[in-house]
Amino acid sequence: MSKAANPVPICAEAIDVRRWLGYWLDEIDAAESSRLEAHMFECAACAHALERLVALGSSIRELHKRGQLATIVPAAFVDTLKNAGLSVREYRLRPEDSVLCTVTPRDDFVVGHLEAPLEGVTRLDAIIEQLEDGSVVRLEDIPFNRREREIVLVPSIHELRPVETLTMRVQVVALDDGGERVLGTYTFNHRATRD
Amino acid sequence: MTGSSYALRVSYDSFGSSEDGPPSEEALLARRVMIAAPARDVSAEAALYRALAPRVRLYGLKHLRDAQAAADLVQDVLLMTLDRLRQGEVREPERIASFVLGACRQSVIDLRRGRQRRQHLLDVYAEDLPLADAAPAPALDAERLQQCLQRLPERERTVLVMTFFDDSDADEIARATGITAGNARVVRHRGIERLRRCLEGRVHGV
Repeated sequence: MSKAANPVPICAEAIDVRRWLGYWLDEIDAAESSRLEAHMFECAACAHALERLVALGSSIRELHKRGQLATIVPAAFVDTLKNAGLSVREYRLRPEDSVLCTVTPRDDFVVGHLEAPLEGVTRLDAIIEQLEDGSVVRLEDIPFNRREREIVLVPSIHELRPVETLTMRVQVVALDDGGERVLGTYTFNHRATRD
Repeated sequence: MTGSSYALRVSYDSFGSSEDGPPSEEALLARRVMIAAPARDVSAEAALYRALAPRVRLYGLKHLRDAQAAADLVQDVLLMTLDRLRQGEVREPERIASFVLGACRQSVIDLRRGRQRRQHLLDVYAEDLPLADAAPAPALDAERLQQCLQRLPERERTVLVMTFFDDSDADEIARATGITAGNARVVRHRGIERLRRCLEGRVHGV
């Protein structure tokens, strides 16, 4: 028995990743779940495919928990982080507000709540400008929940920790058939914590 | 699970005559374990353990949502399976995968009822098995994954992070983000496909 030539067997009835995800997240009914489970036990190739999917999810979770991903999340997700026992430093800004902010060794995440009038908005972009070096990034079609009336920025705390001084200006822009409309500009003045 | 629920008599005649085709690698290993008894074919036992451990681990992660509990399940189920094979108590060893799935289901029910019975088998057999490398999870290049995630469209990255942070389903994502569950599934699938292509180096402009 040589495994080196073909370590992962081929499956005659390969299961699509969408179905494996549905199985993993309990989105399918019990009968389909049992069928997929039985197939997974009989089929090394499909077990391997599911294992890769689970490993991908686990790695995303770890990167996020280590603060290595910058994301924009719904406000409800901040509660999920806190309920998981993670320490979240929060800053709330209204349009045109400016805030002094920092990161301490105890923080797992730092988030910026940007209040904005989102009624009737169908698409949002965020233009992020770093004043020290003049760099500008435009994040297109960012996720938002109209009911929450805010956008929540979660920068990578991993990248933020070693930074001494940073001034970041965020402009939130609504886009529709009539063009662009600035909903607010928010300024973060980051200074490293001295312990 | 009661012990008798897996006390199935071995039928050696059934080997090699499966209507589903030739016996699988796992079935051949199971047979080797059985015919070696009362002696031990340690290499067959280890190979069978390595082949089935990832599937049991996945089952445990899915149903117990805890890595340590899943690792315990791997030991419980596979030590019991090997014990049954040695005792000649597996009636259809060519269906060993199905037997193990049944054992997983019953063990999870047992765990949920708070019954524990793993210590005896661990005491007797654990030292002989290569448990440390039994179920290695596939390794991912974290740095590459981070780069690929940061190159995803914002919406896809958000949905993937929310999905995998605590295994949220599409309905939960939809409620939190204000989109439909169907849209959440589409965004999620697009994100995974884009990530996979990026990780495989097939797409540069993600």
